[in-house]
Amino acid sequence: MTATPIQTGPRAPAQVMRLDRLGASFPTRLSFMRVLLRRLMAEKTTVTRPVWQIDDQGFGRAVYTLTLGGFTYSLVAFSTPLAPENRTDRVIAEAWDTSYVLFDGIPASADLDRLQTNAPKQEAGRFTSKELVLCRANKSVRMFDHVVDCLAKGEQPAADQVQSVGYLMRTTAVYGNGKFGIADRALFAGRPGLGGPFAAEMLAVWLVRAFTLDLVEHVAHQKGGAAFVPLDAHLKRHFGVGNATGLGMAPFLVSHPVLLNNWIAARETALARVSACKAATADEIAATLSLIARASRHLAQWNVADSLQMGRITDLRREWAAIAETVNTNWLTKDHPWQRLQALADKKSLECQELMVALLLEPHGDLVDDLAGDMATDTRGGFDTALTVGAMRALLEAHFDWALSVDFSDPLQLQQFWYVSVEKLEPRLGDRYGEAGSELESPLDIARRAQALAQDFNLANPVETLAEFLLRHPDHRFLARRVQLAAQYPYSELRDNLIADTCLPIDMLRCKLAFFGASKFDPKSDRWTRITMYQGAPLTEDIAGAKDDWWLPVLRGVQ
Amino acid sequence: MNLSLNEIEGGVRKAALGAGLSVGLADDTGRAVAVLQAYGFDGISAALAGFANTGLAARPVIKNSDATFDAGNPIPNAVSALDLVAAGVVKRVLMRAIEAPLLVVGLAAIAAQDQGGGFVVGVGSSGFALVSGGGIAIEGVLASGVTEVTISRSRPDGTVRPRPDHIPDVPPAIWAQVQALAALTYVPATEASRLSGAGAGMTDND
Repeated sequence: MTATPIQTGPRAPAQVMRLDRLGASFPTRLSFMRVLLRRLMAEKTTVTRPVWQIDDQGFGRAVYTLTLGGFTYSLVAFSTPLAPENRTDRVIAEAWDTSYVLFDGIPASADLDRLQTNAPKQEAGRFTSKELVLCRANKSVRMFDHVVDCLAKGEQPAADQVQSVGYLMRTTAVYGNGKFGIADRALFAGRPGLGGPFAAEMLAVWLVRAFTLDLVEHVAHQKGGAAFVPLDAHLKRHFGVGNATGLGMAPFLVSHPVLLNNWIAARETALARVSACKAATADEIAATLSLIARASRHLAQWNVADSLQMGRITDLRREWAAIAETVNTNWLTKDHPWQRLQALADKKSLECQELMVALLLEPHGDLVDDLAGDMATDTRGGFDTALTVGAMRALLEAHFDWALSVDFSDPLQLQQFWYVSVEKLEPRLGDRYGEAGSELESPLDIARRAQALAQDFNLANPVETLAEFLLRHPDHRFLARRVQLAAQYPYSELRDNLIADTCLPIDMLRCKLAFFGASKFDPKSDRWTRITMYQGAPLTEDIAGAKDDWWLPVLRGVQ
Repeated sequence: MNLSLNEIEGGVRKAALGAGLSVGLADDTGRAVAVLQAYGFDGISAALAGFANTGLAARPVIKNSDATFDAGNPIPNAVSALDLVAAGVVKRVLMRAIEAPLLVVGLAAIAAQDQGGGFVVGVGSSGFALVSGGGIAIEGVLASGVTEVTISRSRPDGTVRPRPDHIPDVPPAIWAQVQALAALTYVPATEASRLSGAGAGMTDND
């Protein structure tokens, strides 16, 4: 007889919304890249390359065009010379190897000329609502040159190098939603296939990947002439797009509470649906065992320099091996296999628990894929100023208990402050006791604000309306709104003090990037990370007939 | 210059913070101006007029079911006025001599989105706006400049003003004023802060 199921329904926000757990997130089949590519596969999308004006050195412009949901989009790519001393992944850079826009429709020659003037300038350029996404990427010179040299000589690049780097170029910023004059998301969010969170950005990056692969083959061909060979298909698919992501992404999760809720709620609902299944089919069992083995191989190929993360990966490899040892067809044939599998992982590290969550969703597309449609939002949630202070206080105590328990008499709980730097207006994190600027602190001090609100609620008449309370205390409007949102959207708040000395922004970054669908997290500090996007994903040339089976990419023949 | 609504909302929000408004009020002001611009109104100039008054929020005189704001900062006053009407604390608010009457219309649109229902915003003596989550309808001519504004609840109906195909361009000089206020919220870069950013400390030619 199997154990009694231990959990029904989604996991509680108090468990899920802690930074350390969010910082152990893995991509799932609900991640935005996966959702987008499933749509492209279902539509049997064809990508064409109507413009390829690239010289022998690999500089010039190109256009890739596809149809999605009945609308035509084009990636316009520019490749320009860049001196090594100007090649920096920092957002404060002013020149890049390549720059791109995702264009609404097919660009005319005049559009190309206009974009050729503006896209390489990025933030210093100006754009229109015909452009949906603006981004840039720098070469991984080591990888790019190696691949060019090999292909030009008629050889394939070394698989272990392809595995260890995983991309030819790294994006250093991908801008959407109206930045620098490009289209507001609302202009296209209603279109089929582009309504999901960051769908336009994900589409742009997938096409950027195609450009990087075409470019490396083009340069190698020009160099090698008759000796040139194209990239091996399996190696080619293992090239994703690199990315360096820093603090700029972290405050997004705080400033978009309803969106954050929807992402997490979709994943947790999916997990609850899977866990509720009483039995597994033979196909599901076979798929699960195969995925467990794939995850083992992926973990073996995930190596980073950061000692903390590498330690976690090492622990995870050991824990995952134990799971793989335990779980077999017979084990999964018994009652409530998915709930028991989750329980098995719940005894191990957070990395192991969250990897298991991602795995459990993977063979259950029929059960969970519809939830992807609930992950975007155009609402900011309601705000009812007719509620009484007493009712508001009850909501605050119910949903911000984690904040009310923080001891702010401890200076360490106030150690850090978030701010916007004058330099490209980037969010940054400072030391309150060692750096200037805390008087301009950004409102990520949610826990501290919750305590201030609670103090003033305690002094107020509990039967007066919130409208009357805010008349005296307009400074509490921001937090009062979040209290009501938390009641409507249980996963809307990160349940940790984001200004404490213990707050690690890398956790916020990994959470968001996992929802994008990124893998191979490679932290370079507790404030920024490199990742790979679309590694193992179908290529533009084979998307129409591809299978949605690229969770946790593995390169064959590499240990 | 062409600006997206997201740029307008974000820029005005930062400018509101730079002008000294609290976060919640700045959020609402940014949204209100974006709504106004989307409907072809010059919400940015209205906001700048509002930011010019750096006074404190006023306490209204509440008598029976009416409230009156005689003075004070127009933005917190307008938000409070809309709150009081939406919550049913009063049925009508009179705001005397308000510098940014159009901004009240935008803030009413946000209050309607968030709190439901609709508002009638009387601007001067010859025009009013019917504002709901679904849009803005104008009757008569809205007075400009410093004028009095009244706010009361309405049914969310009226002929909604059509949104123009394109967001009107914003004069660069006007947007520069927004950016100047926004810049008051930015912290100067230091080498220490640069060292913590993405890409820091790496050889990027690898």
